[in-house]
Amino acid sequence: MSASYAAVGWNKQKKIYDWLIACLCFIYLLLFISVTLIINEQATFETLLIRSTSTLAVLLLHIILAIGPLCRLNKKFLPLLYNRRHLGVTMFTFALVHGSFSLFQFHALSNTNPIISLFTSNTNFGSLAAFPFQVLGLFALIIFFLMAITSHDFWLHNLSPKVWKTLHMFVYLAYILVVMHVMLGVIQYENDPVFVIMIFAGAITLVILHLLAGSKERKLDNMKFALQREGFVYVCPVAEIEDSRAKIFYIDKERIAVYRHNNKLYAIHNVCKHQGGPLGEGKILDGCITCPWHGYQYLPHNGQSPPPFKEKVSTYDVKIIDGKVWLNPAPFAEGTERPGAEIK
Amino acid sequence: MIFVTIILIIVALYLLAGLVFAIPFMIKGVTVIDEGAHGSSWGFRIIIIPGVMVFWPFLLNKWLYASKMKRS
Amino acid sequence: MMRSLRKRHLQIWSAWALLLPAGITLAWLAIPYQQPVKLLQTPAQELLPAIIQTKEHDDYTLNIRSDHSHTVWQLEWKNKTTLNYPSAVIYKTTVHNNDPEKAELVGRIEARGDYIFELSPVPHNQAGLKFILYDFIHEAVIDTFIFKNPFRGPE
Repeated sequence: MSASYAAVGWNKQKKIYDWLIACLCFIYLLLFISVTLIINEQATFETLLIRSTSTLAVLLLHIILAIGPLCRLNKKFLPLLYNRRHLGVTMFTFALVHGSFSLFQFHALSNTNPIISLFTSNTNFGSLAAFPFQVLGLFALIIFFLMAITSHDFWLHNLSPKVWKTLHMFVYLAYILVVMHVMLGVIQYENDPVFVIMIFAGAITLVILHLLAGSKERKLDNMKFALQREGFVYVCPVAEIEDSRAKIFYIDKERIAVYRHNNKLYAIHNVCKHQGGPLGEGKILDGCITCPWHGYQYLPHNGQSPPPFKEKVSTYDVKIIDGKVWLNPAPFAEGTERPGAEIK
Repeated sequence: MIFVTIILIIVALYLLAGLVFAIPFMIKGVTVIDEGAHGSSWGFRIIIIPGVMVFWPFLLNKWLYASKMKRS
Repeated sequence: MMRSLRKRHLQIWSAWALLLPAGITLAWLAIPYQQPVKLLQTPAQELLPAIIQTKEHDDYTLNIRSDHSHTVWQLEWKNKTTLNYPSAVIYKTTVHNNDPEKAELVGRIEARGDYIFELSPVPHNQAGLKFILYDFIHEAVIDTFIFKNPFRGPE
Protein backbone atom coordinates (compact mmCIF):
# COMPACT_ATOMS: atom_id res chain seq x y z
CA MET A 1 0.00 0.00 0.00
CA SER A 2 1.21 3.52 -0.46
CA ALA A 3 0.36 5.09 2.87
CA SER A 4 3.36 5.79 5.18
CA TYR A 5 5.29 2.72 6.21
CA ALA A 6 5.30 1.56 9.81
CA ALA A 7 7.98 -0.68 11.32
CA VAL A 8 5.54 -3.54 11.74
CA GLY A 9 2.12 -3.44 10.12
CA TRP A 10 0.13 -4.56 13.12
CA ASN A 11 -3.63 -4.56 13.31
CA LYS A 12 -6.02 -6.44 15.55
CA GLN A 13 -5.96 -9.67 13.52
CA LYS A 14 -2.19 -9.63 13.13
CA LYS A 15 -1.75 -9.11 16.87
CA ILE A 16 -3.95 -12.12 17.58
CA TYR A 17 -1.97 -14.07 15.00
CA ASP A 18 1.34 -13.05 16.59
CA TRP A 19 0.13 -13.95 20.08
CA LEU A 20 -0.81 -17.38 18.80
CA ILE A 21 2.65 -17.81 17.22
CA ALA A 22 4.30 -16.77 20.49
CA CYS A 23 2.16 -19.17 22.55
CA LEU A 24 2.75 -22.05 20.11
CA CYS A 25 6.52 -21.51 20.25
CA PHE A 26 6.59 -21.11 24.02
CA ILE A 27 4.57 -24.29 24.62
CA TYR A 28 6.71 -26.23 22.15
CA LEU A 29 10.00 -25.13 23.74
CA LEU A 30 8.69 -25.87 27.22
CA LEU A 31 7.52 -29.34 26.22
CA PHE A 32 10.70 -30.15 24.31
CA ILE A 33 12.99 -29.05 27.14
CA SER A 34 10.96 -30.87 29.82
CA VAL A 35 10.80 -34.12 27.86
CA THR A 36 14.53 -33.95 27.04
CA LEU A 37 15.42 -33.36 30.69
CA ILE A 38 13.26 -36.30 31.77
CA ILE A 39 14.88 -38.63 29.21
CA ASN A 40 18.40 -37.28 29.55
CA GLU A 41 19.25 -35.56 32.83
CA GLN A 42 22.78 -34.85 31.63
CA ALA A 43 21.66 -32.56 28.79
CA THR A 44 23.54 -29.27 28.90
CA PHE A 45 22.01 -25.84 28.40
CA GLU A 46 23.68 -25.47 24.99
CA THR A 47 22.41 -28.84 23.79
CA LEU A 48 18.87 -28.05 24.94
CA LEU A 49 18.97 -24.70 23.17
CA ILE A 50 20.46 -26.07 19.95
CA ARG A 51 18.02 -28.96 19.72
CA SER A 52 14.83 -27.22 20.84
CA THR A 53 15.27 -24.25 18.50
CA SER A 54 16.25 -26.40 15.53
CA THR A 55 13.27 -28.74 15.84
CA LEU A 56 10.93 -25.79 16.36
CA ALA A 57 12.30 -24.06 13.26
CA VAL A 58 11.83 -27.23 11.19
CA LEU A 59 8.26 -27.58 12.49
CA LEU A 60 7.46 -23.94 11.68
CA LEU A 61 9.01 -24.32 8.22
CA HIS A 62 6.68 -27.21 7.47
CA ILE A 63 3.66 -25.20 8.65
CA ILE A 64 4.72 -22.20 6.56
CA LEU A 65 5.19 -24.28 3.43
CA ALA A 66 1.84 -26.01 3.92
CA ILE A 67 -0.16 -22.77 4.27
CA GLY A 68 0.05 -21.78 0.57
CA PRO A 69 -1.34 -24.98 -0.96
CA LEU A 70 -3.85 -25.45 1.88
CA CYS A 71 -5.32 -22.04 1.08
CA ARG A 72 -5.56 -22.89 -2.60
CA LEU A 73 -7.34 -26.13 -1.72
CA ASN A 74 -9.67 -24.73 0.93
CA LYS A 75 -10.53 -21.11 1.72
CA LYS A 76 -10.89 -21.93 5.42
CA PHE A 77 -7.11 -21.78 5.76
CA LEU A 78 -6.88 -18.21 4.46
CA PRO A 79 -6.53 -16.65 7.94
CA LEU A 80 -3.22 -18.54 8.28
CA LEU A 81 -1.92 -16.88 5.13
CA TYR A 82 -2.81 -13.40 6.29
CA ASN A 83 0.26 -12.96 8.47
CA ARG A 84 2.49 -15.75 7.19
CA ARG A 85 5.48 -13.41 7.01
CA HIS A 86 5.56 -13.02 10.79
CA LEU A 87 5.60 -16.78 11.06
CA GLY A 88 8.50 -16.74 8.60
CA VAL A 89 10.49 -14.17 10.57
CA THR A 90 9.83 -16.19 13.76
CA MET A 91 11.12 -19.32 12.06
CA PHE A 92 14.24 -17.46 10.92
CA THR A 93 14.85 -16.19 14.46
CA PHE A 94 14.81 -19.72 15.90
CA ALA A 95 16.97 -21.01 13.05
CA LEU A 96 19.42 -18.17 13.76
CA VAL A 97 19.59 -19.03 17.47
CA HIS A 98 20.22 -22.67 16.52
CA GLY A 99 22.87 -21.70 13.97
CA SER A 100 24.68 -19.22 16.22
CA PHE A 101 24.83 -21.53 19.21
CA SER A 102 25.93 -24.47 17.07
CA LEU A 103 28.68 -22.35 15.55
CA PHE A 104 29.72 -21.30 19.05
CA GLN A 105 29.51 -24.81 20.46
CA PHE A 106 31.30 -26.64 17.66
CA HIS A 107 33.57 -24.08 16.04
CA ALA A 108 34.34 -21.18 18.39
CA LEU A 109 36.66 -22.98 20.77
CA SER A 110 39.74 -22.74 18.61
CA ASN A 111 41.67 -19.75 17.32
CA THR A 112 40.33 -20.20 13.79
CA ASN A 113 37.46 -17.93 12.80
CA PRO A 114 34.32 -20.03 13.51
CA ILE A 115 32.88 -19.55 10.01
CA ILE A 116 36.16 -20.55 8.37
CA SER A 117 36.27 -23.55 10.69
CA LEU A 118 32.71 -24.41 9.60
CA PHE A 119 33.84 -24.60 5.99
CA THR A 120 37.24 -26.18 6.49
CA SER A 121 36.98 -28.60 9.42
CA ASN A 122 35.09 -31.14 7.34
CA THR A 123 35.69 -31.33 3.60
CA ASN A 124 34.21 -34.76 2.92
CA PHE A 125 32.01 -33.42 0.14
CA GLY A 126 32.32 -36.71 -1.68
CA SER A 127 30.93 -38.77 1.18
CA LEU A 128 27.28 -39.05 2.17
CA ALA A 129 27.73 -40.30 5.71
CA ALA A 130 30.43 -37.81 6.68
CA PHE A 131 29.10 -34.97 4.49
CA PRO A 132 29.71 -31.48 5.95
CA PHE A 133 26.02 -31.05 6.70
CA GLN A 134 26.57 -27.85 8.67
CA VAL A 135 27.37 -26.05 5.42
CA LEU A 136 23.91 -27.02 4.10
CA GLY A 137 22.36 -25.50 7.21
CA LEU A 138 24.35 -22.30 6.78
CA PHE A 139 23.21 -21.87 3.17
CA ALA A 140 19.58 -22.44 4.19
CA LEU A 141 20.04 -19.89 6.97
CA ILE A 142 21.42 -17.35 4.48
CA ILE A 143 18.29 -17.82 2.31
CA PHE A 144 16.02 -17.42 5.34
CA PHE A 145 18.02 -14.33 6.31
CA LEU A 146 17.51 -12.72 2.89
CA MET A 147 13.80 -13.52 3.11
CA ALA A 148 13.46 -12.18 6.64
CA ILE A 149 15.23 -8.89 5.93
CA THR A 150 13.06 -8.30 2.85
CA SER A 151 9.78 -9.24 4.47
CA HIS A 152 8.70 -5.60 4.87
CA ASP A 153 6.35 -4.22 2.20
CA PHE A 154 8.98 -1.59 1.43
CA TRP A 155 11.05 -4.35 -0.17
CA LEU A 156 8.12 -5.83 -2.03
CA HIS A 157 7.49 -2.41 -3.53
CA ASN A 158 11.10 -1.45 -4.26
CA LEU A 159 12.50 -4.76 -5.44
CA SER A 160 9.28 -5.18 -7.53
CA PRO A 161 6.81 -7.97 -6.76
CA LYS A 162 8.37 -10.19 -9.42
CA VAL A 163 11.93 -10.03 -8.03
CA TRP A 164 10.57 -10.28 -4.48
CA LYS A 165 8.47 -13.35 -5.26
CA THR A 166 11.41 -14.99 -7.04
CA LEU A 167 13.69 -14.30 -4.07
CA HIS A 168 11.12 -15.75 -1.70
CA MET A 169 10.67 -18.84 -3.85
CA PHE A 170 14.21 -19.76 -2.84
CA VAL A 171 12.52 -21.03 0.31
CA TYR A 172 11.94 -24.27 -1.59
CA LEU A 173 15.68 -24.64 -2.13
CA ALA A 174 16.22 -23.78 1.53
CA TYR A 175 13.71 -26.47 2.48
CA ILE A 176 15.57 -29.20 0.62
CA LEU A 177 18.83 -27.94 2.19
CA VAL A 178 17.24 -28.14 5.65
CA VAL A 179 15.95 -31.67 5.01
CA MET A 180 19.42 -32.81 3.94
CA HIS A 181 21.04 -30.87 6.82
CA VAL A 182 18.92 -32.90 9.22
CA MET A 183 19.26 -36.20 7.35
CA LEU A 184 23.04 -36.00 6.93
CA GLY A 185 23.54 -34.37 10.32
CA VAL A 186 21.83 -35.42 13.50
CA ILE A 187 20.04 -38.42 11.95
CA GLN A 188 23.40 -40.00 11.09
CA TYR A 189 23.97 -40.39 14.83
CA GLU A 190 20.51 -41.77 15.59
CA ASN A 191 19.63 -45.41 15.44
CA ASP A 192 15.93 -44.81 15.93
CA PRO A 193 14.11 -44.67 12.56
CA VAL A 194 11.37 -42.48 14.06
CA PHE A 195 13.27 -39.31 13.05
CA VAL A 196 13.65 -40.49 9.45
CA ILE A 197 9.95 -41.32 9.36
CA MET A 198 9.04 -37.87 10.71
CA ILE A 199 11.14 -36.03 8.14
CA PHE A 200 9.85 -38.30 5.39
CA ALA A 201 6.22 -37.76 6.43
CA GLY A 202 6.75 -33.99 6.52
CA ALA A 203 8.33 -33.90 3.07
CA ILE A 204 5.72 -36.18 1.49
CA THR A 205 2.85 -34.18 3.01
CA LEU A 206 4.25 -30.98 1.51
CA VAL A 207 4.85 -32.58 -1.88
CA ILE A 208 1.29 -33.97 -2.01
CA LEU A 209 -0.30 -30.68 -0.89
CA HIS A 210 1.65 -28.68 -3.48
CA LEU A 211 0.93 -31.11 -6.30
CA LEU A 212 -2.79 -31.24 -5.42
CA ALA A 213 -3.05 -27.45 -5.30
CA GLY A 214 -1.06 -27.17 -8.53
CA SER A 215 -3.24 -29.60 -10.44
CA LYS A 216 -6.38 -27.84 -9.18
CA GLU A 217 -5.07 -24.56 -10.56
CA ARG A 218 -4.17 -26.22 -13.83
CA LYS A 219 -7.75 -27.30 -14.34
CA LEU A 220 -8.83 -23.68 -14.02
CA ASP A 221 -6.15 -22.62 -16.49
CA ASN A 222 -7.36 -25.13 -19.05
CA MET A 223 -10.94 -23.83 -19.15
CA LYS A 224 -12.44 -23.77 -22.63
CA PHE A 225 -14.98 -21.20 -23.77
CA ALA A 226 -16.77 -22.22 -26.95
CA LEU A 227 -19.26 -19.41 -27.47
CA GLN A 228 -17.87 -16.13 -28.79
CA ARG A 229 -19.66 -13.04 -30.08
CA GLU A 230 -18.16 -9.63 -30.98
CA GLY A 231 -15.11 -10.11 -28.76
CA PHE A 232 -17.20 -11.37 -25.83
CA VAL A 233 -17.11 -14.97 -24.62
CA TYR A 234 -19.89 -16.73 -22.75
CA VAL A 235 -18.60 -17.68 -19.28
CA CYS A 236 -21.49 -18.80 -17.03
CA PRO A 237 -25.14 -18.19 -16.07
CA VAL A 238 -25.69 -15.13 -13.84
CA ALA A 239 -27.05 -17.32 -11.04
CA GLU A 240 -23.66 -18.98 -10.55
CA ILE A 241 -22.13 -15.82 -9.13
CA GLU A 242 -23.06 -15.20 -5.49
CA ASP A 243 -23.60 -11.69 -4.17
CA SER A 244 -20.39 -9.94 -2.98
CA ARG A 245 -18.38 -12.82 -4.41
CA ALA A 246 -16.74 -13.60 -7.72
CA LYS A 247 -16.03 -16.34 -10.18
CA ILE A 248 -12.65 -16.56 -11.86
CA PHE A 249 -12.23 -17.26 -15.58
CA TYR A 250 -9.04 -17.93 -17.45
CA ILE A 251 -9.28 -16.44 -20.93
CA ASP A 252 -6.47 -15.47 -23.31
CA LYS A 253 -3.77 -16.27 -20.76
CA GLU A 254 -5.21 -13.98 -18.10
CA ARG A 255 -7.34 -14.68 -15.08
CA ILE A 256 -10.33 -12.41 -14.75
CA ALA A 257 -12.58 -12.14 -11.70
CA VAL A 258 -16.26 -11.35 -12.29
CA TYR A 259 -17.70 -9.84 -9.11
CA ARG A 260 -21.35 -9.37 -8.15
CA HIS A 261 -21.98 -6.23 -6.11
CA ASN A 262 -25.20 -4.23 -5.54
CA ASN A 263 -26.99 -6.21 -8.25
CA LYS A 264 -24.37 -5.46 -10.86
CA LEU A 265 -21.51 -7.49 -12.35
CA TYR A 266 -18.00 -6.07 -12.64
CA ALA A 267 -14.87 -7.66 -14.06
CA ILE A 268 -11.32 -6.95 -12.94
CA HIS A 269 -7.91 -8.60 -13.36
CA ASN A 270 -7.61 -11.40 -10.82
CA VAL A 271 -4.04 -10.61 -9.70
CA CYS A 272 -3.56 -8.37 -6.67
CA LYS A 273 -0.83 -5.73 -7.08
CA HIS A 274 0.60 -6.50 -3.66
CA GLN A 275 1.76 -10.10 -3.88
CA GLY A 276 -0.30 -11.48 -6.73
CA GLY A 277 -3.11 -12.76 -4.51
CA PRO A 278 -6.24 -14.13 -6.25
CA LEU A 279 -8.70 -11.22 -6.00
CA GLY A 280 -11.55 -13.38 -7.25
CA GLU A 281 -11.23 -15.60 -4.18
CA GLY A 282 -11.83 -12.68 -1.86
CA LYS A 283 -15.10 -10.92 -1.17
CA ILE A 284 -16.56 -7.43 -1.11
CA LEU A 285 -16.04 -5.73 2.23
CA ASP A 286 -17.21 -2.13 2.76
CA GLY A 287 -17.89 -1.84 -0.97
CA CYS A 288 -14.36 -2.90 -1.93
CA ILE A 289 -13.04 -6.10 -3.46
CA THR A 290 -10.73 -7.37 -0.71
CA CYS A 291 -7.76 -9.59 -1.50
CA PRO A 292 -7.96 -12.81 0.50
CA TRP A 293 -4.22 -12.85 1.10
CA HIS A 294 -3.38 -9.58 2.83
CA GLY A 295 -6.53 -7.50 2.63
CA TYR A 296 -5.54 -5.07 -0.16
CA GLN A 297 -8.70 -3.41 -1.51
CA TYR A 298 -9.99 -2.30 -4.92
CA LEU A 299 -13.21 -0.63 -6.04
CA PRO A 300 -15.23 -2.97 -8.29
CA HIS A 301 -16.15 -0.38 -10.93
CA ASN A 302 -12.67 0.99 -11.65
CA GLY A 303 -10.14 -1.42 -10.12
CA GLN A 304 -8.55 1.38 -8.06
CA SER A 305 -7.59 1.15 -4.42
CA PRO A 306 -9.52 3.67 -2.32
CA PRO A 307 -7.40 6.75 -1.34
CA PRO A 308 -4.77 7.20 0.05
CA PHE A 309 -3.67 3.93 -1.59
CA LYS A 310 -2.61 3.98 -5.22
CA GLU A 311 -2.75 0.41 -6.49
CA LYS A 312 -4.73 -0.15 -9.69
CA VAL A 313 -5.69 -3.24 -11.64
CA SER A 314 -7.08 -3.69 -15.17
CA THR A 315 -10.83 -3.70 -15.71
CA TYR A 316 -12.92 -5.54 -18.31
CA ASP A 317 -16.27 -5.22 -19.99
CA VAL A 318 -18.99 -7.60 -18.97
CA LYS A 319 -22.59 -7.89 -20.19
CA ILE A 320 -25.66 -10.00 -19.49
CA ILE A 321 -27.81 -11.43 -22.28
CA ASP A 322 -30.78 -13.62 -21.28
CA GLY A 323 -29.35 -14.44 -17.86
CA LYS A 324 -26.00 -15.40 -19.33
CA VAL A 325 -22.73 -13.64 -18.48
CA TRP A 326 -20.54 -12.56 -21.39
CA LEU A 327 -17.03 -11.30 -20.76
CA ASN A 328 -14.68 -9.38 -23.05
CA PRO A 329 -11.11 -10.48 -22.29
CA ALA A 330 -9.57 -7.29 -23.77
CA PRO A 331 -8.27 -5.36 -20.74
CA PHE A 332 -8.78 -1.65 -20.17
CA ALA A 333 -5.88 0.37 -18.77
CA GLU A 334 -5.40 -0.18 -15.03
CA GLY A 335 -7.92 1.84 -13.04
CA THR A 336 -10.30 2.55 -15.98
CA GLU A 337 -13.90 2.98 -14.86
CA ARG A 338 -16.42 0.55 -16.43
CA PRO A 339 -20.18 0.68 -16.09
CA GLY A 340 -20.65 -2.99 -15.17
CA ALA A 341 -23.68 -5.01 -16.16
CA GLU A 342 -27.00 -4.63 -14.37
CA ILE A 343 -28.76 -7.82 -13.26
CA LYS A 344 -32.48 -7.51 -14.07
CA MET B 1 41.14 -22.11 3.69
CA ILE B 2 42.60 -19.00 2.06
CA PHE B 3 39.78 -19.07 -0.48
CA VAL B 4 37.13 -19.14 2.26
CA THR B 5 38.94 -16.38 4.16
CA ILE B 6 39.05 -14.13 1.09
CA ILE B 7 35.35 -14.68 0.38
CA LEU B 8 34.48 -13.90 4.00
CA ILE B 9 36.53 -10.70 3.96
CA ILE B 10 34.83 -9.58 0.73
CA VAL B 11 31.38 -10.28 2.20
CA ALA B 12 32.27 -8.40 5.40
CA LEU B 13 33.55 -5.39 3.43
CA TYR B 14 30.44 -5.41 1.24
CA LEU B 15 28.15 -5.41 4.28
CA LEU B 16 30.25 -2.73 5.97
CA ALA B 17 29.93 -0.52 2.89
CA GLY B 18 26.19 -1.20 3.08
CA LEU B 19 26.11 -0.04 6.68
CA VAL B 20 27.88 3.19 5.75
CA PHE B 21 25.47 3.68 2.85
CA ALA B 22 22.51 3.02 5.16
CA ILE B 23 23.13 6.26 7.14
CA PRO B 24 22.46 8.82 4.34
CA PHE B 25 19.89 6.45 2.87
CA MET B 26 17.88 6.40 6.11
CA ILE B 27 17.98 10.19 6.37
CA LYS B 28 17.31 11.16 2.76
CA GLY B 29 17.46 8.42 0.14
CA VAL B 30 14.55 6.35 1.34
CA THR B 31 12.10 9.22 0.83
CA VAL B 32 13.54 9.96 -2.63
CA ILE B 33 13.01 6.47 -4.02
CA ASP B 34 9.74 5.63 -2.25
CA GLU B 35 7.04 8.17 -1.50
CA GLY B 36 5.56 5.72 1.01
CA ALA B 37 8.54 6.53 3.25
CA HIS B 38 7.44 10.17 3.67
CA GLY B 39 6.43 10.63 7.28
CA SER B 40 7.31 7.04 8.09
CA SER B 41 8.50 6.13 11.57
CA TRP B 42 12.11 5.65 12.66
CA GLY B 43 11.14 2.12 13.58
CA PHE B 44 10.49 1.46 9.91
CA ARG B 45 13.82 2.98 8.90
CA ILE B 46 15.70 0.86 11.42
CA ILE B 47 13.92 -2.34 10.47
CA ILE B 48 15.00 -2.05 6.83
CA ILE B 49 18.71 -1.51 7.69
CA PRO B 50 19.74 -5.19 7.30
CA GLY B 51 18.10 -5.23 3.88
CA VAL B 52 19.81 -1.96 2.92
CA MET B 53 23.17 -3.48 3.88
CA VAL B 54 22.55 -6.36 1.48
CA PHE B 55 20.81 -4.60 -1.42
CA TRP B 56 22.65 -1.26 -1.24
CA PRO B 57 24.06 -1.19 -4.79
CA PHE B 58 20.54 -1.65 -6.14
CA LEU B 59 19.14 1.09 -3.87
CA LEU B 60 22.03 3.44 -4.71
CA ASN B 61 21.27 2.97 -8.39
CA LYS B 62 17.58 3.62 -7.77
CA TRP B 63 18.38 6.73 -5.73
CA LEU B 64 20.70 8.16 -8.41
CA TYR B 65 18.10 7.45 -11.07
CA ALA B 66 15.32 9.09 -9.03
CA SER B 67 17.39 12.25 -8.41
CA LYS B 68 18.29 12.44 -12.10
CA MET B 69 14.62 12.17 -13.06
CA LYS B 70 13.75 14.90 -10.57
CA ARG B 71 16.35 17.29 -12.01
CA SER B 72 15.31 16.75 -15.60
CA MET C 1 -0.73 -15.60 -8.46
CA MET C 2 0.49 -15.05 -11.97
CA ARG C 3 0.33 -17.99 -14.34
CA SER C 4 4.13 -18.12 -14.72
CA LEU C 5 4.53 -18.33 -10.95
CA ARG C 6 1.89 -21.04 -10.69
CA LYS C 7 3.67 -23.00 -13.37
CA ARG C 8 7.03 -22.53 -11.63
CA HIS C 9 5.55 -23.78 -8.35
CA LEU C 10 4.22 -26.90 -9.98
CA GLN C 11 7.55 -27.52 -11.76
CA ILE C 12 9.54 -27.09 -8.55
CA TRP C 13 7.30 -29.38 -6.53
CA SER C 14 7.23 -32.00 -9.26
CA ALA C 15 11.03 -32.04 -9.12
CA TRP C 16 10.99 -32.04 -5.30
CA ALA C 17 8.57 -35.00 -5.38
CA LEU C 18 11.47 -36.99 -6.81
CA LEU C 19 14.44 -35.29 -5.14
CA LEU C 20 13.17 -35.21 -1.55
CA PRO C 21 12.37 -38.93 -1.19
CA ALA C 22 15.57 -39.78 -3.08
CA GLY C 23 17.70 -37.57 -0.84
CA ILE C 24 16.08 -38.82 2.36
CA THR C 25 16.40 -42.46 1.32
CA LEU C 26 20.04 -42.08 0.29
CA ALA C 27 20.94 -40.35 3.53
CA TRP C 28 19.07 -43.00 5.50
CA LEU C 29 20.87 -45.81 3.68
CA ALA C 30 24.17 -44.09 4.45
CA ILE C 31 23.65 -44.36 8.22
CA PRO C 32 24.97 -47.92 8.78
CA TYR C 33 28.15 -47.17 6.85
CA GLN C 34 28.90 -44.07 8.85
CA GLN C 35 31.61 -44.80 11.39
CA PRO C 36 33.84 -41.75 11.61
CA VAL C 37 33.80 -41.72 15.39
CA LYS C 38 34.41 -45.42 15.73
CA LEU C 39 37.37 -45.31 13.38
CA LEU C 40 39.23 -42.90 15.58
CA GLN C 41 38.02 -43.96 18.97
CA THR C 42 37.62 -47.54 20.03
CA PRO C 43 34.10 -48.57 20.97
CA ALA C 44 33.08 -48.28 24.59
CA GLN C 45 34.99 -50.85 26.56
CA GLU C 46 35.53 -51.85 30.14
CA LEU C 47 38.23 -50.01 32.04
CA LEU C 48 41.09 -52.33 32.86
CA PRO C 49 41.54 -52.68 36.64
CA ALA C 50 45.18 -51.65 37.27
CA ILE C 51 46.65 -48.18 36.80
CA ILE C 52 50.27 -48.74 35.84
CA GLN C 53 51.36 -45.16 35.30
CA THR C 54 49.66 -41.80 35.58
CA LYS C 55 50.24 -38.18 34.51
CA GLU C 56 48.35 -35.26 36.01
CA HIS C 57 47.80 -32.00 34.21
CA ASP C 58 45.62 -29.02 35.13
CA ASP C 59 43.25 -29.80 32.29
CA TYR C 60 43.45 -33.58 31.97
CA THR C 61 44.62 -36.81 33.54
CA LEU C 62 46.27 -39.66 31.61
CA ASN C 63 46.38 -43.20 32.95
CA ILE C 64 48.04 -46.21 31.44
CA ARG C 65 45.97 -49.17 32.50
CA SER C 66 46.33 -52.91 32.26
CA ASP C 67 44.82 -56.11 33.54
CA HIS C 68 46.53 -58.04 36.31
CA SER C 69 48.36 -60.35 33.93
CA HIS C 70 49.65 -57.40 31.83
CA THR C 71 48.38 -58.79 28.55
CA VAL C 72 46.12 -55.94 27.41
CA TRP C 73 46.77 -52.23 27.76
CA GLN C 74 44.76 -49.05 27.69
CA LEU C 75 45.28 -45.30 27.64
CA GLU C 76 42.62 -43.60 29.72
CA TRP C 77 42.11 -39.90 28.96
CA LYS C 78 40.06 -37.79 31.39
CA ASN C 79 39.26 -34.18 30.54
CA LYS C 80 39.13 -32.14 33.74
CA THR C 81 38.17 -28.88 32.05
CA THR C 82 36.72 -28.10 28.63
CA LEU C 83 39.42 -28.62 26.07
CA ASN C 84 39.81 -25.57 23.84
CA TYR C 85 40.64 -27.60 20.74
CA PRO C 86 37.73 -29.10 18.82
CA SER C 87 40.02 -31.09 16.57
CA ALA C 88 42.38 -32.87 18.96
CA VAL C 89 43.86 -36.30 18.36
CA ILE C 90 46.33 -38.38 20.32
CA TYR C 91 49.39 -39.99 18.73
CA LYS C 92 51.70 -42.59 20.25
CA THR C 93 55.39 -42.48 19.37
CA THR C 94 58.95 -42.74 20.62
CA VAL C 95 60.43 -40.27 23.10
CA HIS C 96 62.42 -38.24 20.59
CA ASN C 97 59.88 -37.97 17.83
CA ASN C 98 57.65 -34.89 17.59
CA ASP C 99 56.29 -35.52 14.12
CA PRO C 100 52.76 -36.94 14.09
CA GLU C 101 53.33 -38.23 10.57
CA LYS C 102 55.80 -40.72 12.02
CA ALA C 103 53.58 -41.59 14.96
CA GLU C 104 50.71 -44.00 15.46
CA LEU C 105 47.20 -42.59 15.81
CA VAL C 106 45.60 -43.61 19.11
CA GLY C 107 42.31 -41.78 18.84
CA ARG C 108 40.43 -38.54 18.88
CA ILE C 109 39.15 -36.71 21.91
CA GLU C 110 36.45 -34.11 22.14
CA ALA C 111 36.20 -31.06 24.37
CA ARG C 112 34.66 -32.94 27.28
CA GLY C 113 34.44 -36.40 28.74
CA ASP C 114 36.58 -39.42 29.48
CA TYR C 115 38.03 -41.68 26.81
CA ILE C 116 39.57 -45.14 26.73
CA PHE C 117 41.83 -46.25 23.91
CA GLU C 118 43.36 -49.65 23.43
CA LEU C 119 47.17 -49.48 23.33
CA SER C 120 49.08 -51.61 20.88
CA PRO C 121 52.36 -52.96 22.26
CA VAL C 122 55.72 -51.24 21.57
CA PRO C 123 59.09 -53.01 21.32
CA HIS C 124 60.54 -53.96 24.73
CA ASN C 125 63.83 -52.24 23.97
CA GLN C 126 62.19 -48.85 23.31
CA ALA C 127 63.31 -46.37 25.93
CA GLY C 128 60.00 -44.73 26.68
CA LEU C 129 56.61 -43.92 25.33
CA LYS C 130 55.42 -40.53 24.20
CA PHE C 131 51.90 -39.29 23.54
CA ILE C 132 51.35 -36.22 21.42
CA LEU C 133 48.13 -34.26 21.71
CA TYR C 134 47.78 -32.75 18.26
CA ASP C 135 45.41 -30.18 16.71
CA PHE C 136 45.00 -31.50 13.19
CA ILE C 137 43.22 -28.44 11.81
CA HIS C 138 45.90 -26.00 12.87
CA GLU C 139 48.59 -28.63 12.48
CA ALA C 140 50.08 -27.82 15.87
CA VAL C 141 51.24 -29.88 18.83
CA ILE C 142 49.13 -28.98 21.86
CA ASP C 143 50.97 -31.04 24.47
CA THR C 144 53.28 -34.04 24.88
CA PHE C 145 53.49 -36.64 27.66
CA ILE C 146 56.38 -39.02 28.24
CA PHE C 147 55.85 -42.33 30.04
CA LYS C 148 58.18 -45.14 30.88
CA ASN C 149 57.80 -48.04 28.48
CA PRO C 150 55.23 -50.23 30.25
CA PHE C 151 55.83 -53.10 27.82
CA ARG C 152 59.28 -53.69 29.31
CA GLY C 153 57.60 -55.48 32.12
CA PRO C 154 57.97 -54.76 35.84
CA GLU C 155 61.37 -53.33 36.66
